[in-house]
Amino acid sequence: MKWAWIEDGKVRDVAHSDPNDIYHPDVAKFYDTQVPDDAVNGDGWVNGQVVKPEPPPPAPPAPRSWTQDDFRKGMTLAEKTKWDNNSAPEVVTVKAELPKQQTGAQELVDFLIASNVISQATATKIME
Amino acid sequence: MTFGAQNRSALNKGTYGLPLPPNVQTRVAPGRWTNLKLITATTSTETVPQNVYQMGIAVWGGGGNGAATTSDNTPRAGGGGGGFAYGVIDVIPGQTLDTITVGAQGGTSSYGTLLTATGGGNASGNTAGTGGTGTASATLRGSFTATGGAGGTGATNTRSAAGGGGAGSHYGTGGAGGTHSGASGAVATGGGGLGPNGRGGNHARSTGATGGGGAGFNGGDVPSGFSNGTQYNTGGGGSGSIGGTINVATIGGSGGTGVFSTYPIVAASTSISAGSGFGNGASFQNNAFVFAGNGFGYGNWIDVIYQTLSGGGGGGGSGGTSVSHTAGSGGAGGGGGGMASASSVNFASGNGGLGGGGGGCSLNASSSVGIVSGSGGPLGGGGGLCQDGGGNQTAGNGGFAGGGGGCVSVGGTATAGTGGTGLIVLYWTEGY
Repeated sequence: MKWAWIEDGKVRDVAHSDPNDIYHPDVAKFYDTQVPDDAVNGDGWVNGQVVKPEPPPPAPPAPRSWTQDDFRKGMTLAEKTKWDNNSAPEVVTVKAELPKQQTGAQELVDFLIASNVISQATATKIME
Repeated sequence: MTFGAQNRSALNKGTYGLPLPPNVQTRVAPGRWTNLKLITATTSTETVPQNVYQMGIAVWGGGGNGAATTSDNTPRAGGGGGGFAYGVIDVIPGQTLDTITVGAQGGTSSYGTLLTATGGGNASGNTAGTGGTGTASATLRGSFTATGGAGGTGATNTRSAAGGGGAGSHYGTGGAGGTHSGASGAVATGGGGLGPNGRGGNHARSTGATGGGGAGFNGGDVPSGFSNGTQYNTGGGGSGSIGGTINVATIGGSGGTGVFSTYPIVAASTSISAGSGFGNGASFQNNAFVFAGNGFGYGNWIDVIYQTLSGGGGGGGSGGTSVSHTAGSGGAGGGGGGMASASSVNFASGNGGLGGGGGGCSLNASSSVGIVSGSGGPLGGGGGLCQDGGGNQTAGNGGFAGGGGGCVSVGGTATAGTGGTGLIVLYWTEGY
């Protein structure tokens, strides 16, 4: 067992030995609660028991981002030819705008359809 | 009558012939400590160097953590800075010192039962962590105590993250983290530096980031007379003046100036003139981009005791450009510059130098690009970080005894800045 400073239902600090030997008396008096050896700063203290904090939830996956390569992979050979050779001004603009996330990427494939650079089927494949 | 050599050894070595008066203090502290040792782990085996009869001992408690959220319009506060206690003890060469306890993050540090400094409090939501306190035995010579600075807070129902507090020191109560008091947009404030006037920059509008506090001077503020919606970037405070603020988005505020000082650093016969300077803010004008400058200047742990840190603050970034860049970092005694933008590019705010707070960092765009908030230098608080859409972000950590910054990352992951661990510094001058 170790002596600890309990504050607002939490372990504020655990002393590594007798607090009266290592702290000024004005501070040592706060270390008035004995806690198990595995208690650490930040643990909860409820009804004389250590309550370990819940681990943080797993991070959500990073939002998907579409690159020039993602766009090209979904195209037919004829569309790739237009894309690779910047055959339309719209292709140049779209390349400059990439990479984009979901909303922005959808706007760009719609733009390429309207410009007759790619088909609707290709757009669907790119956004899969 | 003359004194022989055999008699001189019984006399005060400074009087040359005059005997010591009875019952008076014989130990006088040197004009300046010339040696130091940083203690970062608890120990009971530290010994006194040869030819040393007194030591200055500085004790800092650990810093508190900031708070974090991924929810919108829920501001997050910074952690408190660690408390400080100092005193001069009489020792004998070769003697084993009392147990030196180094507190963990938020924990208590001490030198035996003579000097104790408690840790800063962790932030909870938008309630800032309070500063730790210092306690010194009344029997010590030169004793001094100071409270750590409180973390900053955000305005209610806004998207804002505040900086952590700086540690207490001979400059006085640690600088508080910057506080936001404006409308909702995306705001991050800087961490605190040293002294009550070394707080992180305050922010009273809706967008931008402020610089960290320096040694005795605040980071640049964004006042209520400015516009909402402009990406302001203020400079870090220096050791000679506050950080700069400019009422446009394209030019960052300059860091606060350093002080020009001449003082002995090794022995009384050895002096240097310490040049110092501040970093200019980044700018984007006439299609030319100028990167922010770092503050520079001399200073070390001995200067912390004598309040002679002389560095300048780092310049703020430019909020009106899509160029990836970093705001300036502070020199010794300078805070880092703030960095805010609405462009989805990678950028970072500046780190604090010794005794300086980190700059706040804010992205006002729905994007997952990486942005980095400035960490506090030793004894400085970390900068806050705010992003209004996506991204896995971490606020600036506190340096030794500095509080961590608050973090807001709407829809992404948000990790608060952690408070620094405690620290003990031993000072001595051979022959004293």
